[in-house]
Amino acid sequence: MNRGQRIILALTACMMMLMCLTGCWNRRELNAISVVLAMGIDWVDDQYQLTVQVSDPSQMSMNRSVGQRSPSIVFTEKAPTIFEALRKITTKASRRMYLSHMRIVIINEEIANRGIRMPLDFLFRDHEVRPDFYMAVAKGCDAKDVLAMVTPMEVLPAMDLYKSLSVSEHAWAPTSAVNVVDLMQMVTKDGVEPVLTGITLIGNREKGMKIDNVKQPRAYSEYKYTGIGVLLDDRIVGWLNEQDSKGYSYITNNVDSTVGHVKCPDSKENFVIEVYSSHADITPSIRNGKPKITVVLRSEANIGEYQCKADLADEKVFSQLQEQARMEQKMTLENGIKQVQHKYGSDIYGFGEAFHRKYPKLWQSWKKRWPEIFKNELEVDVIVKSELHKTGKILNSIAKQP
Amino acid sequence: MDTSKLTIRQMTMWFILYQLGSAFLVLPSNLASIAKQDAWISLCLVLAVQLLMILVYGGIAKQLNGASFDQHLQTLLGQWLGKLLLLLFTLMYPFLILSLVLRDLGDYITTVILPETPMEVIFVLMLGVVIYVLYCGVSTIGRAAELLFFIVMGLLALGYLPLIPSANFTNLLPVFEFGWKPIVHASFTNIAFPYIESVLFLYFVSQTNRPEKWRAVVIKSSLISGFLFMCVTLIVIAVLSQQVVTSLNFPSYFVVRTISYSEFFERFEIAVSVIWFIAIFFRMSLLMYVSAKGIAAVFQLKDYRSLLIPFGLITFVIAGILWPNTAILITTYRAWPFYSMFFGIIFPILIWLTGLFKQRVSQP
Repeated sequence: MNRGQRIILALTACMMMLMCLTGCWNRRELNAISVVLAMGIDWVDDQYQLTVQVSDPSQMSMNRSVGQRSPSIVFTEKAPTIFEALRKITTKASRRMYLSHMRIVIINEEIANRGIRMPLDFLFRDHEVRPDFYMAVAKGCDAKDVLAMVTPMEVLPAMDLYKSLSVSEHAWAPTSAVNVVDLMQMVTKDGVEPVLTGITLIGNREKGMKIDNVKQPRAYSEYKYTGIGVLLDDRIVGWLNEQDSKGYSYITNNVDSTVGHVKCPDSKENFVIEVYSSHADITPSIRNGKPKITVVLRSEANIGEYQCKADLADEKVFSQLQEQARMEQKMTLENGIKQVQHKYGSDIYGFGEAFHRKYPKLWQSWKKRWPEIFKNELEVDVIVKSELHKTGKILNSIAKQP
Repeated sequence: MDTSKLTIRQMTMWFILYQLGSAFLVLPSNLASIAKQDAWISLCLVLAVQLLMILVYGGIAKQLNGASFDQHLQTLLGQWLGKLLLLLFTLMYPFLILSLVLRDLGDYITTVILPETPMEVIFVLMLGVVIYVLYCGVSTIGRAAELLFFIVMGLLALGYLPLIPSANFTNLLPVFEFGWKPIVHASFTNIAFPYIESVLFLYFVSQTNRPEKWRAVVIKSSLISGFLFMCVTLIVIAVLSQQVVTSLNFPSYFVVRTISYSEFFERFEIAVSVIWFIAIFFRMSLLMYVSAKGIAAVFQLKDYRSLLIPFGLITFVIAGILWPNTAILITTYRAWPFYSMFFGIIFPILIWLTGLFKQRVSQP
């Protein structure tokens, strides 16, 4: 190899190595970004008020000085569009907001009244946002207030909100966590209307925003997920109470595990069933040209608490209890459906989609006026085939032997 | 060692990666926007048409008789007409697609991953690799395909198998809601892109030691890539529903972002997007090779290698100015199937028939 070739080779090698040393144009150094964990969108004074909750990086290290600074920082900015508001926050913060790790987005009722499609546009269009966050509506307060609250369990309030929602969804039927992809599906399909989780603040809000909120065992203020908000198209039309929300979760197969009380057959007391598996089948049919839906609920439960007098060892008593439990579930489902049908006329259960799947031809003619048909003509039959199985560690309540 | 020969295995893998190429990114939303939840059925139709076309391609391959495709054109149509046709064909088909594919890659990267990176940088890096590997020869690409094929399959499994539990297969119902029409209509786009581009595989008949196996290779690669397309389309639609898929630009990337298990097994979509880098690399190297081969034959150059750098530069410029905005891309894309079918269906059929005619005349 002669001298010239060697020099050329060496130069090429150097250039190759240079390539490894560059970053990319879009680099985001960790110390130049703020990780947004929760976002709040409010409609205030005819424009969007965007609130982001970011973590304070100095408070995330192991040797932090607890209690000196808040672990989370909240920025708020107003602008006619969400993206503008987000960029405008840089006038208040030293770092750029990074949206990839967002866990929850909270909107206020005003936004839900105006339609959620518009704010969703940005969240789907922007390349940083991942489609894996929850959405909730702040009921009776602004999203800004919810995000500014200091929460007791987790250091970061956003994580508290997120974890509480996902835990509650698995253990308590009236809570229904709405993931943004589910929401997008519900907004775009004809035969199903969207729902959103509600969240509200209770207690003293002013004090709840201070770090003092968590300095005693009982917080001054706490958040609470409350029932389900019913949307028609993309606007909120009302809220479901706890019982009706539970019915919704049963019908849409969102129940992992839950508990509910049932009246004793022999006295005024209650017993509790702990449902550990549940499945609902929706079967559409047409009777005299009118749509009919049959919901068959199969759930399996154990007795979780027993305040009745009858002897649980008696087979007759046990099947009486089972019958009672079925009645209770049937009531829950039927009342919920009736309420939604007549009060809101919004097919949140997806009955329309069931018709769409089974009668695609007919559906084309119904599609346009489905909310109307759902409200006035649809007949719903609920059949409950639930079963009770075990009684827990004891059989009857502890009492003196007779 | 002869650097211009491929083994059967290498050829199959290269062709599969070629077909996966950039179609993989946009295919589900293209199909779903027309055929709705029946998108997967139109893929069956696509494969049926492809198998029919393979009869034609296979017929031409037989007529080649050991000659390369460019020589065959010239013996068939005479030197001048053959060369003219070859020039037009090469410039208007593989060379154009080369720029389109490069631009697709650039668009994808700057839309969903690195919006502030200039596209030119992505172009230069990709073209650099493609030119280098073509300098090394076809068998280098073949061996690379053998290695990277399994990485691609592994990444596909990583990206799409975890989606199965969250798939809601009722999203695929009702089947045949709008009848056959949209299904047929949707299949057009996929037939044109990438399947009938298989006509370019004809250049590879003379590149293997066993040309008689060529047809089996194309059938195999089409079926495998078709099967992968179908799996991905089914999963994407089942997870997201056709309404959502339709409104996304890159659904097969978007859907991977929705994976989340136990707040641990999640957020690895970048690993999955490596698939497209690899597939587009093989797509571009094949297109570049075919273009260079074609032009080299027209101008009777000894070696196609001297054309690689000029082609790279031209592609770099064309890819940068192909379309000024997304709306133009989408409008043009509607006409593409017809344009492509002219080269991928009509052209080979004519060549095949001429070949048959000539055989009959020469041996009565």
